[in-house]
Amino acid sequence: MLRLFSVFLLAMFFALPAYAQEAEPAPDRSATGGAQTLEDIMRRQQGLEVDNSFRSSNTGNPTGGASPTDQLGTLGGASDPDLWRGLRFDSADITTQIQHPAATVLIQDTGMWWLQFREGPLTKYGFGLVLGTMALLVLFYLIRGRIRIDGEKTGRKILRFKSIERFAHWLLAGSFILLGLTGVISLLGRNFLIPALGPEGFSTIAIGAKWVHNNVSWAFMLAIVMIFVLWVVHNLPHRSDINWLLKGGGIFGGGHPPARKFNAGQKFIFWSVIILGGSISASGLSLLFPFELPMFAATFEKLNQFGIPQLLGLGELNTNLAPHTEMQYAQLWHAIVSFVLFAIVIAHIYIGSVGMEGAYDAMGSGEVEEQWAREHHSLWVEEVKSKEAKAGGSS
Amino acid sequence: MREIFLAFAAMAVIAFGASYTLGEMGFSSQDQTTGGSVRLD
Repeated sequence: MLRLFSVFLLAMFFALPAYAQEAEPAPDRSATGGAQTLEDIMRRQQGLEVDNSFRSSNTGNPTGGASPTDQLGTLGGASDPDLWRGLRFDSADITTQIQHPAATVLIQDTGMWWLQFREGPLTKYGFGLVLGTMALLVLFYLIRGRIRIDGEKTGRKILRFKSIERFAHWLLAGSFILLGLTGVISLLGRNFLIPALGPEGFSTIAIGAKWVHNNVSWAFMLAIVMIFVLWVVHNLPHRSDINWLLKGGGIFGGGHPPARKFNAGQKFIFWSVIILGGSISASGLSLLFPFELPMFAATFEKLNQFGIPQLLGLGELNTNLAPHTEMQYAQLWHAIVSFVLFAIVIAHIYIGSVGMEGAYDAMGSGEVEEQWAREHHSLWVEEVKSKEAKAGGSS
Repeated sequence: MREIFLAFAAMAVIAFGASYTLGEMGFSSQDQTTGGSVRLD
């Protein structure tokens, strides 16, 4: 799983500059006097990217026209098309009676890009990632089979997770699965549930899914805080992690590399949940309180300051985002990070259930077979035994 | 198993509690997107 993720990151790292280099030169618009050409219209109709910079700044000059009181005076320096361009590119000076952050945006130009990305690449690659991970796990199971306890079972049990730890884990697990299911209904439900249930049937399910998603999210956020507080000490890097990683966790033979309470693979899961789950929570809060918690313009500004987009060949990111664009970015980020975390968690569910004998007990009863603990977390067992001996000696 | 059921029960309590609290605080869609003269329900 670690190896796969590294390949994905590397592929993204090299693919982005390559993508940026493929940008086409600006088309010749001399035939239309600088206005949009048939090619621009056709590209837009085909859903291709159109550089609108030649139009977005062409919004007239309200103070430039001759005064209407003059002889042959005009009605101002901005024509109707200038005004519509101003509306479209969110630069017109709008006053509304509705006091709302998004009320002055009458046309949102990037909305179609968001819709097309949401229904195209996001869905395709998101589900591809999740289903691909499932297929790899099935393949892994067919090749490797269930990881058994190698040695003879002792019949003795060791307490691995306390009640509060198991509670936090299941609160996180239960809410994450529920949020995943309701998220998929919100994202794609209309595509596959309307044909099956009809618009009214889907409407009921969609309203229910939205309610569950919005409100169960608080349990997810609470659980993330709980597991962070409970387990962060055990998930700090340790020199034994290097050996564990070099031996691939002993998954394909090669013995059982020593590990503390959490091995390097589990630490990867932990930090994925904390970082990705934290990011999902942040974008989720932004969606939960529409237009109140925008975060992308500020993030893009920081990234531009550090030169990260420039390094990747993306140029400076646009920091002048309409309120709706903020929400659209939040939705896309929320879904993309959720798909990645879902793929990681599926691997975690596999190894904690059918993939490894004795692993489920750690979160089921909280007690594990001592032999299992010795094979997978030998350093932790030594720690526990040493503490028990000290406690026994002092009493 | 007890912790699993406790966690699921807590999830339900938190969800209903959040919905009620946010509604009482005026964070419902109705309160956020309409004026006093508009009634959605």
